[in-house]
Amino acid sequence: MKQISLQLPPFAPDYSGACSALFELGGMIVIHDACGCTGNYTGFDEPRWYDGESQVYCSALRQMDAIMGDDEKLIGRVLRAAEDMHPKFIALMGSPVPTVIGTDFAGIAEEIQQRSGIPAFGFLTTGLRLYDVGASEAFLALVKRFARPGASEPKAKTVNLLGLTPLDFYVGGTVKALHSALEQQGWNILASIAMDTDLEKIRDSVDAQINLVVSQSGLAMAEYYKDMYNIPYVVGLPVGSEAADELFSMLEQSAEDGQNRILSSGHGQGNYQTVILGERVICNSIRRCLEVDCGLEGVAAVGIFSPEPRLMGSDDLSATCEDEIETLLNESGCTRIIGDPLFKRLLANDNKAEFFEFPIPAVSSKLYWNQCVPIIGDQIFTWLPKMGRR
Amino acid sequence: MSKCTCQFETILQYSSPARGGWSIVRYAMQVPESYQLFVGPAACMRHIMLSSMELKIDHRISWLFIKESDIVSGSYEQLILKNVDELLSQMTPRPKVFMIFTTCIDNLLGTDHDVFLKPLNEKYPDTKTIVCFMNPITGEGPTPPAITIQDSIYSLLKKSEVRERAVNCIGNHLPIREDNELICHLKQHGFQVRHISQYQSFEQFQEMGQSVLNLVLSPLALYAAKQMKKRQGIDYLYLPVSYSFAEIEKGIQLVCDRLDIEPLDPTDARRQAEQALEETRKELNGRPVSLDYEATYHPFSMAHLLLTHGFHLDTIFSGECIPQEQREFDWILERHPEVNIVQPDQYTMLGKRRNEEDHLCIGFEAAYYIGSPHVVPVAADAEQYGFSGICLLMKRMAEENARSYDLEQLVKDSGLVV
Repeated sequence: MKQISLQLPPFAPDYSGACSALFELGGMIVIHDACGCTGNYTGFDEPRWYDGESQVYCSALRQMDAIMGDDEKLIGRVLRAAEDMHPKFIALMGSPVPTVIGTDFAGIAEEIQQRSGIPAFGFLTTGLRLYDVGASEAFLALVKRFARPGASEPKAKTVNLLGLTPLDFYVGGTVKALHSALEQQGWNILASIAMDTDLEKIRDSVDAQINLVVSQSGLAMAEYYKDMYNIPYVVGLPVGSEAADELFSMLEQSAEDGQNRILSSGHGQGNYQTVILGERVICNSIRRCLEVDCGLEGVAAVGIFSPEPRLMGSDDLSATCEDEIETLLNESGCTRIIGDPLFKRLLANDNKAEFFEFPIPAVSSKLYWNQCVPIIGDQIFTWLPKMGRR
Repeated sequence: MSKCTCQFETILQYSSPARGGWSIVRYAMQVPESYQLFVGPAACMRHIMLSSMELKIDHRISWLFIKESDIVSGSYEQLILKNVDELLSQMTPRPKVFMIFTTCIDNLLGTDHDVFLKPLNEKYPDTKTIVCFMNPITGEGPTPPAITIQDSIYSLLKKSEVRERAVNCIGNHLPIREDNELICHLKQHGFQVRHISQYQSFEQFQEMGQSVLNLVLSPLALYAAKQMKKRQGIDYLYLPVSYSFAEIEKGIQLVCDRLDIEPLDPTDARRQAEQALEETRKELNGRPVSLDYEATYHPFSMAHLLLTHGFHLDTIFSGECIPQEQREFDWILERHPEVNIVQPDQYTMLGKRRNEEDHLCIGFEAAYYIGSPHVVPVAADAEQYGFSGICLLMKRMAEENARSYDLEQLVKDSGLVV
């Protein structure tokens, strides 16, 4: 893997994913940094920031505090703010400097919780990993802490959505469309974690009959629900028409037999004609749509973030740095590319592949996040008209 | 009783969506024929790269991410050496300056920069490779990144035995306009006035090293000026932007004395400023005005000016009061207790947006908190300096009085970053 990038920005980091996962839930989120990391998140990875009123703060870490290991300054600042702001929980986020000095976030969170009486989390986010890992850890911690303990009798036709952040799903349209698509199938959404939900719904999420994992960051949470509450999960999104029906059938089957299912390719890979780059679950779902609804073969779903073997077929691809993405785009022989507009910068001059712009907020941030492209149900065909829908 | 609620203390910080200033990238990009490589955890470079794309300067910048294993193994320096060597070998033409920016963790890792600087400068003698710092962790120390970058920039000037009849303006991001009374006076007396933004080539930029005097127009460049005095032998005068008539006149006099030229009679310039103030005051017709400390490094000086000329000043948003402004700050507390003084970066500011669309706001953050679409979109005093700077500010206020913006879009287009 080449570590240098000339054309693309770094993708959203783990602390952005963790903050994004918790943003709507009424907690106080404190990024332990000097200001740049907080600015990264609030300025470039949080489309809800401008109009939102969530408590996301910077600890104002300074060099001397880092050298002296002065955790009490952080604890004191958090306690003072918590006393004024009355958050429902407190989440501390690491950044590169605390990583280097080995800050004990779990211990600090424990102390804050004891002294304030407010549930507190410490996340070992580092700025060296990607948003999907941070979001996954935050979601898991959230559910472990707030989901109602003990066995529960599942309510018929109820579903939780696991793994929603604007870094994958923008703000507004896609999540609403997803809710609507499920409701039209008779599903009642208990918790939509974590967009358009709250801690009460997360508490009662254990009553769900099934979980729908809509992004890779929801998978760890789904495993936890399965282990602790025996709630099965399905991984995928209802993209397209027949492919969406396939997913809905999987939901019904899993609710019936309690087995986990993953929406995956029905075709062998290789000889790629179409390449989809992005988040693993979203790419897999679009691929299934192209296969089932459009009759295409040779469709590659290329994960560009943290590789997750549990969601990848044996010949699924991932390209996780600029060099790998560039090689794939120019040397795979594909004739169609679906990807973030910034990837066009990597195309060789003689690359004649047709490019379908699919902005990914975790890649291009606010450069394109207002250009949300719909993917749920038939909406995908409003921007993929040339794929030869059957 | 004063409505000042700020203690200027460091507590948990809130970063409003409209907060931001010039990035380190943007300062350093002013060096002609330069290229920047940012090295550190990938996260650190996200805002840098994206804001550079917004400003369309990203073709002169790239980034090298380090992994946890690089930190642990101590191979950090070799990683930089290998990648910069490879990059420079492929660049045509090669930049005259290659800036390697390190981030906060570099302060804690004890990096030996010579491990890569020495071989790179030997192998590519026509490219000056230097280390610069994007390390906000040094924020409250004597040399935060906004200060060290000024020093890095001017360290590129070669020491010259030649002294030309020229002065440099340093620390101001944008050049002072040609109609400024001091600039005009200096030119009338045969002095060139130089600013980094006027140079297209690195070679031309070197002429700043032949000037006789640095005029330091912002506190950010004072450290650089002191270093230049040691390094290049160029003396300096610290004359930061001021909105005080007396200080402006004193500054003009100091420059004339130092350069041994006839004093400038400031009467006309002062009268024009007075006239501009009066006209704009009438134009605003009592409209409330609010301002912030991203728009000007001297919010209390600007506030003092507005208050003493009959403007209806409502709120000053400032995260600090620098010593130079203490007198104006105290004066406002004593004489204008009705003026709100608010520290905008404190956690208590969350949700404190007002919805007072009638205000005219100087600065983006003031507009955000006040909730007004009427904005004077300036950062770091822009080109405002001296009496002509006051005229310029008044002109902008009068123009923006009749205009309104979509603030969210305006902030996005500004390319400002935290």
